[in-house]
Amino acid sequence: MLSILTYYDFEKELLFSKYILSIGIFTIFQSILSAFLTIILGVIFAYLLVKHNYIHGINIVTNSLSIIFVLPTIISVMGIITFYGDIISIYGLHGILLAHVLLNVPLVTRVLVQSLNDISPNEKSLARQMGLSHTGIFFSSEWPIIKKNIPSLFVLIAFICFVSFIPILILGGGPKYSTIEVAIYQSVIFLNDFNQATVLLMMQIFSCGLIFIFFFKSFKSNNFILNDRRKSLNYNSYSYKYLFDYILIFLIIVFIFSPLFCIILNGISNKLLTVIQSDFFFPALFTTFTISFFSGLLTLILTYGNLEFVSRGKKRKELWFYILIIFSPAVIAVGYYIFINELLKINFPSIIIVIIINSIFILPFSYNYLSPSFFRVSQEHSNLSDSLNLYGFAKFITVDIGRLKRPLINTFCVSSILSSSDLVIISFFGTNDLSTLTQTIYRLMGNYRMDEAKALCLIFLVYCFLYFIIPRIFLIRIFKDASSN
Amino acid sequence: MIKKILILTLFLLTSHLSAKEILTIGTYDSFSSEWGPGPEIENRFEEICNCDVQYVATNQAGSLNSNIFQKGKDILLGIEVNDFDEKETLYWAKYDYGYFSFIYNNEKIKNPPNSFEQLASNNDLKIVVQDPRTSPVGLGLLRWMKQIYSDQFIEEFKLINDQIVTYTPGWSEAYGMFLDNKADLVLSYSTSPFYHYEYEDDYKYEALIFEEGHLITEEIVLVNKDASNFDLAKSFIDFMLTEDIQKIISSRNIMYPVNSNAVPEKMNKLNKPKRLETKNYNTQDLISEWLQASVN
Repeated sequence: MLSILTYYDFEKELLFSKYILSIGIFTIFQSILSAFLTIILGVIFAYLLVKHNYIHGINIVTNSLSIIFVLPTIISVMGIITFYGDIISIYGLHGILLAHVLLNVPLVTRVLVQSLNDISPNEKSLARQMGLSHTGIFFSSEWPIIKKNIPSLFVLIAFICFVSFIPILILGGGPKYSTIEVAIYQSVIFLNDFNQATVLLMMQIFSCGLIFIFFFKSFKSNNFILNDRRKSLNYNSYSYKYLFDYILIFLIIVFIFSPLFCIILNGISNKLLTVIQSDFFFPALFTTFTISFFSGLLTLILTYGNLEFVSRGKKRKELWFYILIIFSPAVIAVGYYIFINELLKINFPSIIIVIIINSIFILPFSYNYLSPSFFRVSQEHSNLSDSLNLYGFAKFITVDIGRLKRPLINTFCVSSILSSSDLVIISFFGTNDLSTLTQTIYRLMGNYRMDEAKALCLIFLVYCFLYFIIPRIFLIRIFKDASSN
Repeated sequence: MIKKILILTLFLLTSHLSAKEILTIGTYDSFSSEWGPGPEIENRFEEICNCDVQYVATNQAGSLNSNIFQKGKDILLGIEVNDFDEKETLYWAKYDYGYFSFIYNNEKIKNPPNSFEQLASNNDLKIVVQDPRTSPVGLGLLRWMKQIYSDQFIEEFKLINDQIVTYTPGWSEAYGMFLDNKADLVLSYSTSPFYHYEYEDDYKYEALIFEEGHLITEEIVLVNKDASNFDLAKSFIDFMLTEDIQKIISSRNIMYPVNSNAVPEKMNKLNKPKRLETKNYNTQDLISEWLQASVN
């Protein structure tokens, strides 16, 4: 970022046209509206999933939510167009909202489900003993937890939608619905007009700052009830009373997973074998895996470390996590490119740069995945670890890891896949030898080979799926701990 | 023991490094990827030059014009003629060209429009184009229409804009949407159907040919200002114009080669549109006019 400022020409005039102002307003408007709708749907969905988790296979649904969120945007958007394109008209503001909600509800739902599952079984049995109805249970024990999560999730989603690029461009249907990010992208990469880009970036940061100040509340505010480790029984079971709920669940699942099904269907073709057998496949796969694995690891370490740091400090420290999103990836990538290649003049291996920058960008997301559980657990254990004089790594190993296994694994998987889905950063630092699956998909598309690109999308999907499942299996084997959640 | 291995490795490395001269070529992903003409050209040139050709590729349109990307490259390959300033280089050449055109599916559209007028007055065709701010193809459309309509550009574009379904960031998304039947027409090059004829044996895609003529786009390869070895770079550019290499370029890049003897057979069978030369329009002004036409 600072490197780009070195190119700033103070003599050039600022181009502040009416158009830019209007897209600025539009950006704020659509991001807040999208976030609002996403949160509503996410809360409903999370609540339903937890309430009815006796349904066979509902766990698969919950776990696969993460996959949708981490797929490269271009793939998801093309999936959306394929599925919804003929049913309704999807170009325009409603298309943008549809895409934003569809792509972000999984994140919200996932985080909320995790929080809701942390509710102590004691509470549940107590509520039952007191004869509370479903609404009663909801308002007394579940809603407070949800309420705590909402502000930070809202801000996160608003930011994501603020800087979203591909859904806006493709589904917007025209320059009428454009965002600041699009303008930044255009000025940095296409026009190489850094003045414009810097001005726009300032606008973006300013607007996001406003949103943050208005809406954000920390995860760690007070009162998490200490819980114990018993598995919580769900007293609900299949029943006619819940027919409405079942229909709702079904509809939401169809809504969210439909693009995924399209990708799967489109990918199945005779090109599948061709792709697997080609020269470029295994190197790309290997590169993707390396980048994802190390990014995931680095992100995890950074997140955890920063959370420790935050838990001892004030609310404002969390701002740092969120700031990262609003610095447009395009600007950051170019800035770092300039920085490393010209100002530093050191030849870093590109893959390390990619891993590091990716990790930095993913921090806001990993933060949201990890913090609810982290703060809950750390509150319980802070006294204990203080009394035992445990800090840092020792504390991590002895006290935290047992309770945080699941969230940590989830965060790791999500971060890894997010980093392998990135297109902007890898396109700056990648070379012919260093290319990821996502990049290869894009290259195939650019060379007329659409069928092969679709087959590769499917393979990438399978890769994500396996990536989520395998660590889980591993960990259950290694840490056969009766006390784990 | 380890010391010996280390010394040996270092020795081999340095000897390898000093062996051949490196020719760095900055170009687009589509050229240098394994499905483009790049690798083949690299192999053949390395056979005769005793050098090491290295591509540095980018997939962002417009990067080739940025000073940041240009630094350190001996050759820049793939710059469009409109973005090109002759005074900036000592040696350059055009290596291929194409005509902007709309592609359609002849099984779905039986009576295709044969002029911009007809396209504008037709109301039920869905068109997908690229955003001119992020794609040179999209910008090509603006230039094309500006050339035909000059002062009436905004009014004419409004007529077309009603049929435009969406603007995509790049060529690939638009073409993908078209192949998926999400649009009836896509903005591409008149040579695009050649890919389907040659590699897929599929003849249902054709290019619309307009009476008014089609804007030409030419791609250029040039020697960069701070190239380390001017003669080597010059010989590469001359190499690109030889007939064999031109054949490779046209069949892999899906564009017309500048050498008319090198046109692949199936490409020759395509309809060649009337040619409109490029005129120099200020990009920012053009985009402002486009914004006026499309935001209403």
